[in-house]
Amino acid sequence: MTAAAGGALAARLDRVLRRAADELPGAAPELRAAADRLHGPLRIAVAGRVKAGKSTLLNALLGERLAATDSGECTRLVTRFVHDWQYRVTAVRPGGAREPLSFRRGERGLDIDLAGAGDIAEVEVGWPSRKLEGIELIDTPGLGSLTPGVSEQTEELTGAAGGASAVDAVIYLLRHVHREDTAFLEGFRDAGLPLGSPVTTVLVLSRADEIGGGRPDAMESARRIAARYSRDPRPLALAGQVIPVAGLLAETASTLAEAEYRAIRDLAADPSAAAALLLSVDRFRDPERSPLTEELRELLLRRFGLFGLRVAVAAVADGRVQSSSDLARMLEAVSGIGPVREAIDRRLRARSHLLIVRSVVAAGRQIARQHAAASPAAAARLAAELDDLAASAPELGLLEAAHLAATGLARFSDADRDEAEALLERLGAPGPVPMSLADAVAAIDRWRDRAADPLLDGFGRAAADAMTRAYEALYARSIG
Amino acid sequence: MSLLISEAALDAARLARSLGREDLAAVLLASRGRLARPETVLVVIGEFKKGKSSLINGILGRDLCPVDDDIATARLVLIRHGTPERVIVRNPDGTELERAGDLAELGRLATEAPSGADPMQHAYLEVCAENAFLAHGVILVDTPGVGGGLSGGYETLALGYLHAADGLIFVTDASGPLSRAELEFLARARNVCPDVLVAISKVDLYPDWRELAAGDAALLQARAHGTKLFPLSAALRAAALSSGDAALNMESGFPALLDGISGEILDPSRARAAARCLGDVRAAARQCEAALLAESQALTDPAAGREHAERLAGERRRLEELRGAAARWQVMLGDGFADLISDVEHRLRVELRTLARDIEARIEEEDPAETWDDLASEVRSRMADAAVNVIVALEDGTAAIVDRIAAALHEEALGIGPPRRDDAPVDLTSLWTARAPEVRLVSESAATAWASLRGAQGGILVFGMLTGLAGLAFTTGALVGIGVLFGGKQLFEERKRQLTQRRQKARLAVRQFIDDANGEIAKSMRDAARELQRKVRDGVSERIAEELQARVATLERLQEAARASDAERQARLQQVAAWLHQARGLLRQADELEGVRA
Repeated sequence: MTAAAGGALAARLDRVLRRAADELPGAAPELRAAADRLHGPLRIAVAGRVKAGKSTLLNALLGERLAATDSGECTRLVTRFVHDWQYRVTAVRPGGAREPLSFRRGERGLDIDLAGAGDIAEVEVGWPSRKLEGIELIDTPGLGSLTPGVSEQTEELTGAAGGASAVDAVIYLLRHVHREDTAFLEGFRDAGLPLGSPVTTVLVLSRADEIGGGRPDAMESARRIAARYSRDPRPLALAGQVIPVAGLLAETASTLAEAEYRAIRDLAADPSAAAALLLSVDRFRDPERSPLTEELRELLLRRFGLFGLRVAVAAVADGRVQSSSDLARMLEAVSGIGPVREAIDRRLRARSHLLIVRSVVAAGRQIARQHAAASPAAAARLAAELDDLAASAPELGLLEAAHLAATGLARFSDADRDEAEALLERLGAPGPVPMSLADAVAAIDRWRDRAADPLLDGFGRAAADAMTRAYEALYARSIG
Repeated sequence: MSLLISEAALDAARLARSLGREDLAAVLLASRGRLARPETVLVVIGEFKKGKSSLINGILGRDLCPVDDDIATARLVLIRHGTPERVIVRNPDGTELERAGDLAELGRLATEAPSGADPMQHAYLEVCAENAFLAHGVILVDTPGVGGGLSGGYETLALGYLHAADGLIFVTDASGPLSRAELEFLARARNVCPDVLVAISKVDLYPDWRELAAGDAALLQARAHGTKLFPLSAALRAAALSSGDAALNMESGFPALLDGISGEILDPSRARAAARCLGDVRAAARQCEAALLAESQALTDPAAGREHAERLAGERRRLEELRGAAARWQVMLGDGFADLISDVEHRLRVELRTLARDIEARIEEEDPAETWDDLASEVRSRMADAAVNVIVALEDGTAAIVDRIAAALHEEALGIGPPRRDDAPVDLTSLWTARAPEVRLVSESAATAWASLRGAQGGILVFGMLTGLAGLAFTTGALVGIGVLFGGKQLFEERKRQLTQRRQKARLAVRQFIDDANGEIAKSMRDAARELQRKVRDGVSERIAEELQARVATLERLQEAARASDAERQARLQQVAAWLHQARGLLRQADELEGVRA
């Protein structure tokens, strides 16, 4: 989808919402907030169970250690990372009031002074990072937390608690598929929530190096498991492909220091001694055996983990890695973060306008439902206008078709599913449409026939209709 | 301590044998065998992929259970000591399906069936292996992981088996603190089996494992579980065993775990076996003493001997009547179990009806597409509770029946008076607790001693019942996974139509499931009741036979004494006095040992 097309759709939605705000005074602040989201970045939440490695992955994506990572459960507040021209940290009060917080860059992430800050709903971190252009990354408290009120924040944010979702897309981190994961992912069946749909969710098998017990072939194991999860018809069909990532390695790769490389090189000088040291964390720490200072030992353990150290030492010892930048490249490649970046770019960032429109439409519908009793006429008008808008935007219909296809509701074949996905990309790509008019006409005919199939149920028909309309839009664009 | 008891049992067996009581000697020798190797059931439970199988391999010091990053143990595996080594695949009802002489086959037999198959329809495995740890009488039970997300049924299975266990090793790993699900499971498990050890695996990998272990300890403390934690590394254990590195072995944490198992679980089990063996010694010595006293009296005073013989003959007749099928206790037994079965069945029906009503009310309020998994898991877990309640009701009912029979027997055999523990010549009840062939003593109640569903075999019975349940599927068609992400108007009608359809389907599925489950539980319950009834009948018959044997043997001796010449009588008296001295010595020794034990 071109920025212009997305822009026109967004502008129309903006008008619908702002007029509704005048007609529905009770819902005015919510409607204006929804409209404002159209002009903001794509909001991507990083979610998962406690200790799934959310903050670590977030740091890897940012290329800086900002989110605090620790052995305990560390993220207890929703923390938004947004693009800004200056470094600042802001507390958002439950009522929406904002005030600056003091902070400094600590060794393990930002050290934000929350002592005496009182009641805080969210923390917002403004950071002048190019990686944040056009998107907002949201670190969320883990699900399944033992501390009351912690997991609930994430459910609230993502709409799992029953309200509207405040995010547009989700990167969901799994370790092994746990009952709490499936309950969470499957909790999003209704009303345009961004989670649980392959269209808006990137599934990550996190801490992948630990699955194989830190053995040298651990990432191979993780890839095999991720592939099996991706094929599993339930429950993950809701979100499609699963990508294995060793988050710690990715984080370290993007923030590697020269001193760390030198320490690895010292260890690699005696490979058999290093192997004995790397039997366990306790052996590595043993001052009797180690050539490193205590400070360095602890640093390396935290930054690489046992698996990272084993891989790094082996690579330096056999000469594959000869400099700190080599090491960073090697760790990045082993970590598997590349495919996650690619999935974010291709599936989320490239469609960000569309995804934002989609979640704002869903938020609008939610508001219309909530106020249907208080002001029936205005609420009904808002709902009708949103339906009109959704119906007249082939891209939105296509997103719906992709969702219906990927979840199996539309009963598409694999080829149909690929076609829907390819069409979504084609429609989103700027510039001339790489499709002949004849092909487009043939496709329109084919899908129109499909939609008329009397054996189809409502979902199948809706998906086939959406495909037809999308090809029609392509056709219109190629002749216009 | 147990060595002394073992010696005493051997002495008592010798004495019994010289008095012609081969039956008593056999009981004593069996009891002595159990003392050396008390059956102790140790169950290993944890969420999946936490390293349960590696932990078992670490305990055994050999690669027995298959370990894989991806594929998980999907079946219950019972590991016990035995030669020749073998793996037997059994149906939940215990019948043999397949057998392999090579333990390497275990990997193929124990791991997950291809995805799509319901792993719980499968049988369990019994492994016999030669191993020093297992030789203590331990039966290790490896369970499929709980909290697996794919099915709540695993958890139920594990809990069902726990019902029969002496101890539990709960396995978590050092990657993060104990989760809410784990703590909830631990709380439930603790109600069923109080002896819990928590193992924290994979500490070789995580730099912060000490902080984590301290945090877990605090979490358990806060919930009043004063449970001991054992940090472990199976990787270090394996490296230590292959290199013979003793320091590394200590670092692996396994020596500490083995000490913990020994102190927390095996010792109590040994103590129970010791108490039982001591009881057997005392009972046998007392029987010998009574017989010898009678003989010595008959030898010195033939008139009193004749009187005694008449009394014994009367008792023998009564006991012979009691052996007949028409004896009152047999009727009581049959009637008691018939009543118990119908009572338990009735309670089960009421429980399931309530369950059906509750679930249908939920279906009316919710969209089954969204909450089906939750509904199904509620049905399954309440069903499992119902099954466990059935077991408990059966055991309680059996205990009551046994008490009634004991009272009746006491009356019939002795005329009047309540059952007394020690001094009555034919006090059946006093020996019941001490003489429970093949079933260990778990409580003071006479009934649980030989008619209980605890122990490895009882565990299999409960397991069979729950597996039967778990094997039942909901016939829902395409109910799960339906849901719409988009709230557009065009799909609204479709959604409404489908909702009505879904509710209908869900109601039908739940009703069908509950019917099937009712049948399944009732069938298993009847099987279990029959098993219990048989155990009670055998137990009582055995006791009667023993009492009978005691009288027959004494009578013979009395008759011999009556026929003896004076010279023979003198020699006999000396011999009897010597034996009597031995019997009294054994009783004294038993008292002393009891004192030490207490």
